[in-house]
Amino acid sequence: MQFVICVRKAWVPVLLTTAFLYPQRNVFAQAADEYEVKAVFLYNFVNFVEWPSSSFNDGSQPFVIGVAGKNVFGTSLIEAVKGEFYRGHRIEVWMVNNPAEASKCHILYIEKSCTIFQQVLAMTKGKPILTIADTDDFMVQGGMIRFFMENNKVRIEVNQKVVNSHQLVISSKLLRLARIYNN
Amino acid sequence: MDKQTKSIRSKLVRLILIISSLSLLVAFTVLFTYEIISYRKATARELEVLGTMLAQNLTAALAFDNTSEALEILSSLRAEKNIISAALYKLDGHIFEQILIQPGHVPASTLESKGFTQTSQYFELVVPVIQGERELGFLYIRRSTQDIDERLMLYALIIFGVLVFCFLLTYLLSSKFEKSVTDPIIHLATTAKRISEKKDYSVRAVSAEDGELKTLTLAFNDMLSTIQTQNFEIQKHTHQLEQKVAERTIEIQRQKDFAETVVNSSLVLIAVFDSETRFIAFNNRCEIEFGVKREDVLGKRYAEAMPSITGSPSYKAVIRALNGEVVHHEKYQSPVSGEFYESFSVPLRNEKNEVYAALLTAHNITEIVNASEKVIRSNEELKRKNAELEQFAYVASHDLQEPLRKIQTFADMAKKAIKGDDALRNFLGKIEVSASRMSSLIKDVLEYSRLSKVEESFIETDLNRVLEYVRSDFELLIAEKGAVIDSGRLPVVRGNQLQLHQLFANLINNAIKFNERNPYIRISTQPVTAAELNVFPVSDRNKKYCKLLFTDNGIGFDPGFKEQVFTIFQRLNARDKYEGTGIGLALCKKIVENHNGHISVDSVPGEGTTFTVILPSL
Repeated sequence: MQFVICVRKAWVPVLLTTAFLYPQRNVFAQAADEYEVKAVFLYNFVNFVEWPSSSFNDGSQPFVIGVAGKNVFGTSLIEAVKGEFYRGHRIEVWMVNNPAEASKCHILYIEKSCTIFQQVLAMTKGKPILTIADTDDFMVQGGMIRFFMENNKVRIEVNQKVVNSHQLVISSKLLRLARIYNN
Repeated sequence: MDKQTKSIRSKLVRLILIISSLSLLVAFTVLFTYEIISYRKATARELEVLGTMLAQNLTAALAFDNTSEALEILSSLRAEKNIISAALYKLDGHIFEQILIQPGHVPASTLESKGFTQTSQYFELVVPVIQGERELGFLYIRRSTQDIDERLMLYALIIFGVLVFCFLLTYLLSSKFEKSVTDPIIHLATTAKRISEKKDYSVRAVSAEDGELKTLTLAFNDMLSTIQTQNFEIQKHTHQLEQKVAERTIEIQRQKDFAETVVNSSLVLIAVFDSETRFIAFNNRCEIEFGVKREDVLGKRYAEAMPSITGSPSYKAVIRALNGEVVHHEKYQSPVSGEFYESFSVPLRNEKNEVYAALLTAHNITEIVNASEKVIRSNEELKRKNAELEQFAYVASHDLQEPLRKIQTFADMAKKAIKGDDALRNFLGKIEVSASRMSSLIKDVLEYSRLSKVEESFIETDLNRVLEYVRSDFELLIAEKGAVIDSGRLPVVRGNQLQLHQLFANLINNAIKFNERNPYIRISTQPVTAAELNVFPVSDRNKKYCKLLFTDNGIGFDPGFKEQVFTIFQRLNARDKYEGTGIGLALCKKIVENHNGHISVDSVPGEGTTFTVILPSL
C-alpha cells in the first residue's frame, strides 16, 4: 500500500499505471493467461450482477469475492479489485477454506481441484451468492456461471433459473453475450 | 408614355422590389442561419444520445472481451445512414473493435479529444463506456454531415424558389398597385406638360381618388385657377401698360419734337456737350452763326470740331459747367465767327445730381455792342456840344443883355426927349417893349440853360411854403384878374427850393394867363396808383411818390398837343393875345425831371386844363 501511494503521488504516474495495467489488460487481446482474464471477469461480474441489500448486514461489510481451492489467479485478482467498491462496499478477495466461510461471500469461485467443492456449493444454496466454476458439470450440479473456452477465448455460460432463484439479477447485457444453460 | 413617367413607374416598382427582396433576404438569412445552427445542434444532440445508448450496450462486450458481440452492437449503426464509422476503444486507448460503414477510417489509438467535435465534413463523438460507475473504454462515432449539407442545399433551393416567387409576385402586385399611385401623378404631369406647351391655363386635372393625390390634384387645379386669373390680370395690365407706353411714346416724341423745334427755332444759340465735351445738340442758330452743319459736329469734341475754340472763354466755360459751375459771360468775342456773344454755360444734372452734360446758350450781341459804342460816342459828342451850347447860351444871354439895356435906356431917353411927335414916341415905345421882351427872353433862356447845373443842394421843401411865396409874387396879377387859388394841405418834398418855386410860378402863371374868366386854380394831392407808376418811366419801386394836381378853368387846348406843350418855344396861342416866351412848360418839365419826377397834362378846350405832377416824397 505504501508503495502504491508513493507511486500514485509520483510525477510519472502514467508510465507506472501503464506498467501495472498493461499485463492485466493485455490478456483481453491475446488471452495470454487464461486466469488473468478470469480474474478480471470475476471482478467485472460485480458490475453486471445485482445483489439484494439483504446480503449486507451494514455499510462497513465488505463485498467478498471468495476463491475456494487453489489460488489459480496469483495476484491478478487482488490487483483487479484493489480500491474498488460495490455500492460503497469495499471489494475484498478471500481464500475460502471451509464451507462456513463460503456463506459470507458474494461471489464464490470454486476451483476445480477444490477438495470441498460439493460442500462449498451446498453452503450457497438459497443464499445470494454468485457461484462460478470452470468444471463441465457445474451447471448440472446447480452452479450459476461457468467459464469455458471457445476459439481460444474465455466464454461464459449462465444458469439463469438458479441465478434468479437466489435473489440475484444478472444484467441483460451480460446475458446477451453469455451462453444460457437450459437443462 | 415618355421617359419621365416611365422612370417614375420603374423607380416605384424597383423600390418595392428592392425593399421586399431585401426584407425577404434578411428574413430568410436569419431563418437559414437559425436552421443551420439548430439543425446542427439537434444532430449533435441526436449523435450524443445515440452514442450514449450504444456505449451502454457495449459495456458487457467490452467487460467480457467479446468482440463479436461488440461488432454486432456496432453494426446496429448501419441503420443510421449518416454514420461513417465507429470504433470501441479499451481504457488504454487501443482499438477493441471497429466498423467502417462508409469509406473512411477511425483513429488508431488513444483519443486526444473527448466529447463532441465537428469539422466541415463530419461530426466526431467520443463517449466513455461506463458500467455502473466504472469506465471501461471509449466509443468513437464519426457521422457525416452530408445530410445536413443536403438539407441546407434543399433549404437554399426552397428559399431561392420562394424568393423568386415572391419577387415575381411583388413585381406583379406592385405593377398593378403602382398604377393607382402613378396614374394620377402621370395624369398630373401630362396635364402640366400640356399646359406648359400650349399655355392653356383653362385645362384642369381630373381627380379620381381620395387621399394626398386628390389633395395634390386639387391644389394643382387651384394653382391653375390662380394662374389663369393672374394671367388674365397680367394680360390686362400688359395691355394697359402697352397702351400707356404707346401714349407716352407719342407724348415723348411730341415733347422731343417740341423741344427740338423750340431749340432749333430759337434765336439763341444752343449747344449741348456730354461729359467728354462731345456735341450732343447743335441748333439751327448755331449752324447759321458758325456756318457748320449739325451732322458735321454731332459726336465730335468741341475742340475737334472747332479747333480755334481751344482756350477761349466759351471753351473754358463749358469745361467749368461740366464741373458743376454756372458761368455767365456778358460779352466775349468768338474766335470762330469773330462776333460778340453773351452766353450762359449751365451744368445739366441727372436724378443723382451728377453732371452729365453742359448746356451752352448764347446770343449774338454784335449789333448791340456796335450800337452802344455808337451811342456812347454820340453821347460824348452830345455832352461836349451841350456844354459848349450852355456856355454859349450863358455867354450869349449875358452879353446880349448889355446892348439890350442900352437900347432900352436910349429908347427911353429918346422918348422923353421928343416932345409932340406921337408917332415917333410910339415907335420908340415899341422899340422899348421889344427890347424888354428880348431881355426877358434871354433871361428865360439863361434860366433854362442853368437848370441842369443845380442837381446838388436838394433839401426838404415844404410845398405850402412855396405856394405862399408864389401867391405873394403874383399878388398884383391875382388882384387884377380876380383869380382864386384854392389849395389843400400840400406835402413836404425833397428838392431844389428855387426850382420848385419856378415850377409852381410857371404853372400858376399859365393858369391865370390863359384864362378869359376869373381864374379859379385848384391845387390838390392824390395818392399815386400802381398803374401810374407803371406808365411812369423813371419810377423807383422803393421810393414813395406824391401826386399834385393843378386844375384851372382856363381856355384849355386840343388834347392832341398834350406832348408838344412841353417843347421849348412851342406856342399854341397867338403872341398878341397871350404874352409869354414859350419856354415856361419846357422849363417845368425839366424841373420835374431834375427831381426824378413826371409831369403830364390833360385839357378840354374851353373848359380847363389839369397838370399832373408826380414827385418823390420823403
